[in-house]
Amino acid sequence: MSTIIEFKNVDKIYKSGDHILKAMDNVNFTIDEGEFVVILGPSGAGKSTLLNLLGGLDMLTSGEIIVNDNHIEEFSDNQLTDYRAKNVGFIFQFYNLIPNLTALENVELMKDIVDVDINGLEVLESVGLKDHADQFPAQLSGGEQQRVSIARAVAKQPTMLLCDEPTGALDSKTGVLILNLLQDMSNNQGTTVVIVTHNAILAHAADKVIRIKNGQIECIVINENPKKVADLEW
Amino acid sequence: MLKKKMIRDIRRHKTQFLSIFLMAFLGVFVFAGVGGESVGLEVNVDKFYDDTNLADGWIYSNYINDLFLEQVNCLGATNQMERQLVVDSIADFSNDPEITLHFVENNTISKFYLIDGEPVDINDKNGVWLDKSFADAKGLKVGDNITFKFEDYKIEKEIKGIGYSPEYVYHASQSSVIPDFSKLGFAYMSYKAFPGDTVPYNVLNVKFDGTAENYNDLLDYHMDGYYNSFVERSEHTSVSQFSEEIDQHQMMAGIFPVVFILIAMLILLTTMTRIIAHQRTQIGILKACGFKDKSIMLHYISYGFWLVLIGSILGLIIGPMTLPKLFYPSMSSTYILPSWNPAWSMNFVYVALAMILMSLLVSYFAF
Ligand SMILES: Nc1ncnc2c1ncn2[C@@H]1O[C@H](COP(=O)(O)OP(=O)(O)OP(=O)(O)O)[C@@H](O)[C@H]1O
Ligand SMILES: [Mg+2]
Repeated sequence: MSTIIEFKNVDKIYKSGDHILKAMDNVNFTIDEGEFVVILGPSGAGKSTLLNLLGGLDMLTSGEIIVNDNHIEEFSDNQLTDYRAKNVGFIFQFYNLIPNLTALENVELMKDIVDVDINGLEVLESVGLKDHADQFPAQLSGGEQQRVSIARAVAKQPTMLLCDEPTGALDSKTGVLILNLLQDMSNNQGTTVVIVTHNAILAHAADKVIRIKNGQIECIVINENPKKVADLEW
Repeated sequence: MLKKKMIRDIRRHKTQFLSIFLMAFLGVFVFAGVGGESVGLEVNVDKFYDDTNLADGWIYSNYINDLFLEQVNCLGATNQMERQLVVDSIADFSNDPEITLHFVENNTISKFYLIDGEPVDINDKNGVWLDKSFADAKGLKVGDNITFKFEDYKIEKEIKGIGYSPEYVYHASQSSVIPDFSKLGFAYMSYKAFPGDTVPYNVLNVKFDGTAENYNDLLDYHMDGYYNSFVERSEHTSVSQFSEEIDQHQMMAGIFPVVFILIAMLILLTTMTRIIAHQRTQIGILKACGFKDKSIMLHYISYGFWLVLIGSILGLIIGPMTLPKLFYPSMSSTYILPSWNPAWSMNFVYVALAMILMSLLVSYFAF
């Protein structure tokens, strides 16, 4: 498997007034194409920061982030937008759908930003929501909304899916469903999936586990035989 | 897809957006409507003045003989002139209507505008060409006879034609501002119809080059003492009354729309500010998805744009189609013009465009 993402000596410093906070402190790691990666760490460790840097939502202070041989840290604003549109599918804790658009329309919204031929119904079917296509977010359960946002993220056929606590607002049964879906995306479609979570059990299902603390990498574990999400003991 | 979102957002805030739409519509509606009306008046009256060769000025004198004409001709600026005898008469009806008689030498300046009958014939001693408003008020027809009394004369003439005169677009008596057409009027006759031996011409209609002020100076310099007064076109009662009326309409066309447009822009500003503040999260989602800042901005700007665009197009169409029809009937009871047609001006489009541009700026400012 080839390396698709590489962090080299990445620092991220937040300044507010005199207060200086090092949210990323000399972070180094690589992620291979199609890997199912879990990022673990206590609150405030810098997990979201890492994901936002990788997804081009935030700029690093120093170091290099290389995705598909491109240096993200050298991108202009326009290039970053383009990078987000084509390469990155974000999934957040709160489902973040456009409330005024139906499930189907939320997915097909992506037609406006990528040249990919998107069949919204097919994508919704792949997350098991074909029958809910015409419902508005407020008419869907939390799990269903999260599945719509996954559908929206994968519709673009991005290089990677970046998920920041995707099950944080769901009950555990629905959470397993979502994680299962994400693992399938990685196993079956070869999409690189990076999941930030508090739930250490998920580590057993990951190809790679990155633990961080105080903005630093604590350890990186590679699972030779990851379990199926569905087979984990929750 | 963002268009769908826009339409649903607009529907959710339909009261505000309906007000924006209505105010934008009303602004252009009134501007183009009253504008179409007043520009129409201007175009119609100018055409009337041109068709009838309305005088540029009137020289009043008691000695308008050949020598006088020669002198006026020598002023250089004079292009064309024609003398008339203008006298007040009483027509022979029970209410003693006041008819101003014009004994004309050629009917070349401030010409009679024929509606019915035959054209003015300078060799006709027995014919009279009568004010249509008066004829209508009295039920007079071509072929009828009418008698006028003035000074010691009493003349009876046959009505050969009925029509208008550019000097009587507005014609009211001293006693009332609103004309009563059964009590006053005018009539044109050939100088040959004058009952006396010589015609005591008292008005010289002139057409001249240059400004009225220059012409007045020339007259003053060369002919001081030989004439009583000079009236330039813009001082003529009928001309000035009508152009003041047009000015008032144009002022109305200017003020009301400004108010409507300002209200539209204010509502747009508050509505968009509120919507955008309320949708900060959604804006974040769109950005995370990879929407360009520019597309997101255009999305929010388009709310006001479409409404203001549709409002102004409707205003541009409906305004000139309806408002003139509303105004002209009451106007035509005071003013006499051969045609009442609304006119179009590119200014209407410019104002609509300016408002659309303003809506873009306002939405941009809200963003
Ligand atoms: N925009 C910001 N400005 C200043 N400090 C920030 C900003 N974003 C994050 N931080 C700080 O950086 C550190 C890392 O934050 P981050 O959100 O990455 O933590 P996390 O690991 O995602 O935590 P959690 O599990 O609670 O979501 C925190 O101390 C946070 O306060
Ligand atoms: Mg976080």
